Amino acid sequence: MATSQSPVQISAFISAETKARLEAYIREHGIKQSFLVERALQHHLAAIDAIPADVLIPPVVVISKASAAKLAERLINPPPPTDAMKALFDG
Amino acid sequence: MAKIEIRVLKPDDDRSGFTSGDSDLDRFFQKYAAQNQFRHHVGTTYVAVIDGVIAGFATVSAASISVDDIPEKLRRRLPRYPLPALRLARLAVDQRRQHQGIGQRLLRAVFSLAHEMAARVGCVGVLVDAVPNAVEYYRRYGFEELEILEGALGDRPAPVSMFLPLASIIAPGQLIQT
Repeated sequence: MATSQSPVQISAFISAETKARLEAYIREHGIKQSFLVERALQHHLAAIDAIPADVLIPPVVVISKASAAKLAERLINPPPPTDAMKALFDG
Repeated sequence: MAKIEIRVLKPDDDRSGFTSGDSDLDRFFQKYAAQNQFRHHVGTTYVAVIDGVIAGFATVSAASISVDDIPEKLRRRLPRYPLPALRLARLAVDQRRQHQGIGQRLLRAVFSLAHEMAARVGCVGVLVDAVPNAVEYYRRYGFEELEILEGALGDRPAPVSMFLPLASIIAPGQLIQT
């Protein structure tokens, strides 16, 4: 929420992908970065107020290196559907 | 056996009488599933309906899987960008309708949705947040546990994150080889 108080500065490390999307949106809509960041924060905080944090579904999942190795193996060599999977779609 | 309809939750669906036996899942479904879907658009809930009464639900959301500080030897095996996936965050069946195949019908709908998502916007598989006593249930379908560093659900007890690649999921209409 914009107020008449003097603005303060924040800084944050974000992913290159998010930064690229942020800059693309700013170019596309002709708005200031500070305006968009504050609006995004307001929307996020409003959502947290409306929905308790424990029922939110985070959109990004970061996995460990060990799990990444397992995930890569499963994506390259996926196991065939299990018997339970076959039974689920059989009939 | 009664006809089971699987469809997207509607704003005027009566959720007040749903009781799965898990108070957290019931609280989510009764109080927040509609807000998530219709107001904040952060998740969609599918319901199983029998004779006009909701017998079960599954809440899904688009997710992306990232690796923190990807090791050099994995760089050639995994893309550098986050992997799109379908997240099955919550699934529950009303106590009065348990052991009637409703959870399976919801799971089948979620699997079909993963294939649809893959065809339309990309999806490498299904990520499920399993309540601890459902881990063996999901393992039967091929899900394997993943260690999540960030992005876990806040449910208690903490859910177990499991993943199943899309290629291990039968697509609707796919010929089943035995």
